Amino acid sequence: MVSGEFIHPGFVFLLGSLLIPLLKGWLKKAYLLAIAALSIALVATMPEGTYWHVDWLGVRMVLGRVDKLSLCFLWVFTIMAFLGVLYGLHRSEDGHHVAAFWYIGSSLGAVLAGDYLSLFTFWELMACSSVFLIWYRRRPESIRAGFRYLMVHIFGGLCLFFGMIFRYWQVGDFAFGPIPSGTAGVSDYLILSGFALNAAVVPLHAWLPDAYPEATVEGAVLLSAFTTKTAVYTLARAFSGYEVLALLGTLMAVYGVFYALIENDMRRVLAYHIVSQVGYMVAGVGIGTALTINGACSHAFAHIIYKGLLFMGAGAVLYRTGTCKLSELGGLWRWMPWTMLFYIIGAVSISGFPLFSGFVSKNMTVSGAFEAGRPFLGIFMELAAIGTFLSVGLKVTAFAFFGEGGKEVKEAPWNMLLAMALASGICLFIGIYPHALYRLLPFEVEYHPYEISKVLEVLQLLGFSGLVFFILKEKLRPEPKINLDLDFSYRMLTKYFMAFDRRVIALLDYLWGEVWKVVGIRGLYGGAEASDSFDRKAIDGVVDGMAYGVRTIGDRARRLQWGSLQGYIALSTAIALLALILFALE
Amino acid sequence: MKRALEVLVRGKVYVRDICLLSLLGLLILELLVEHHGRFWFERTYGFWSLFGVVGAFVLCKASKGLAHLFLSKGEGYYGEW
Repeated sequence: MVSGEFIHPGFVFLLGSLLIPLLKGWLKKAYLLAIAALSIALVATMPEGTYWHVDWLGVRMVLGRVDKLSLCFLWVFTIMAFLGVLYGLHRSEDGHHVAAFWYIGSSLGAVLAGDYLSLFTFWELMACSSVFLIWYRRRPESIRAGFRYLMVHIFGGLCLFFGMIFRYWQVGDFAFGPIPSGTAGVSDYLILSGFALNAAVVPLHAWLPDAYPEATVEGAVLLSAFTTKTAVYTLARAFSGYEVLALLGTLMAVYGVFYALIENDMRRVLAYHIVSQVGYMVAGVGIGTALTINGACSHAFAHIIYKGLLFMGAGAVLYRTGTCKLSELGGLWRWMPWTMLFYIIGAVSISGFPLFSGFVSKNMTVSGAFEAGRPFLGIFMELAAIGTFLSVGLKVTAFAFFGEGGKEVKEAPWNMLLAMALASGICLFIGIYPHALYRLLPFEVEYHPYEISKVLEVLQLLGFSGLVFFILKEKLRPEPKINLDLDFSYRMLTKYFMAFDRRVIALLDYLWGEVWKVVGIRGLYGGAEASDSFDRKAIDGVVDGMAYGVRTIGDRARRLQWGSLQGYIALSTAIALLALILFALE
Repeated sequence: MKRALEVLVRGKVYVRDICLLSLLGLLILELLVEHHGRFWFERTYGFWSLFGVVGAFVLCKASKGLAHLFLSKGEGYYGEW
């Protein structure tokens, strides 16, 4: 775990999880927080360089690559880990904490991996540990969603695996670094597909809004942070400047808000917004200029915190009311005012209001798109910003926290409120003092978010779209329905396959059973009888005949030995005489 | 906290009026600000206000329209799948 000045924070979580079941009460809670705080301290003091070179299976693995890009993600991952652990402190199941630690630890391991083999190992570990954060909700829907999540991620993992093996054949090593778009071959696009699936790039995105809303209250907070952003990191590391990512990223940004506007489940709205916000990051990586890659990284940083905060708010509502359906909620400002305040801070951050974190990160990518001469991409990103404010900012706030209906509940527990307060503070701090974030970015780029024209542009864009919301508010009232997305394909495929199995394959199986009963079983009986007869008459006949022969000879020989010496002499003499006579006659 | 919210909810008409006046203020302020930008629309007065109105309207109508057309299904649509 220790190598010179480098201590791997991922292994601190992985090995630290082993003690969790042995501790109880406040000691356990203090221990969970201490491990998370230690990981932040390790990142704060982590020197750049490569550490932990391990030779395994004849391959040189690098488990600790620390540079500006990985440090940016390590910072936000460890901060979010601390907030997530604090938020889930009340959870009594050790298994949930252990799964969370393994998920966080493997995400940190993936960010620090300097080669494909170690990256793949941590990648798979992430999928296998995170699924428990869904299963621990223990609802039949969650169990099924967890299995779908796992199957999709196994498919993505296989894309990555075959990509890296083919690449090894071609280039002879597993080094994980930038791949220029002009030189990319089939193996590189397989790796890209594996990364894109984890980043929920449309059309490989449907697993995310399917699975995250089914996770536990505390698990969803962590899920919202790590899987997709690890994928953004890997895309930024290897595939910057790929046009396909610029186009699909922008499509994601609009696609996510489109669904968020019509979803009824609060956490599904937020899940679609992960797709949308990660779209900005993927597009930033795809455009590939220093400003847009910085934009992608800064947006990943800001997004992890405010999205975690929004999931915390929605989770607190679910925890207290037992539902996240907007059609069943309303008037929560009376009972959960602090939760509402923190949720709104997250909502204005994601919407990109000045003085909040989303403003200083999102606009870096959008400005980068315009500066790179990609006005259409920039315009669609602005359209997505409108949809974000309409759905997360206004729709959820209006129908869950304001409005009528709903039930009287208690405010969220202290640890949830404290985690939300800290996350809100970070959103404000980044928004007010953006250079604290910009200092962590991989490229040295001059960017000033608070130019008066930019501030005005954003305020007008959001203000006037808000006006439309209040005009169309009743039309946007959430309905207790679900919306079809591309998970329809594999869910219905499974459904139809099972129906086909029940009707056609089961019928064929029945018919075959009947045929077998008539032809097969009878044939088998006939064969068995013939075999029995052959055994008794032929095999037994030969064996028995030999036995009888031996017995008869033995019996005869026995009779020759009657025990009288005179008799033996007389018999011998008679035989000798007979022999002499025969000899004489000849 | 709760009391402050009660005041806001009771005075929601005033809140609405303040918001509308702020929007008007933004349009007036734009007259005083020099526009920067590489593309014509970035330098056009009121472009982002209009884009906000049209964009929001199109997004709301398109998403709700497609939802009612074929995307929305009953909550038990997938059954056990």
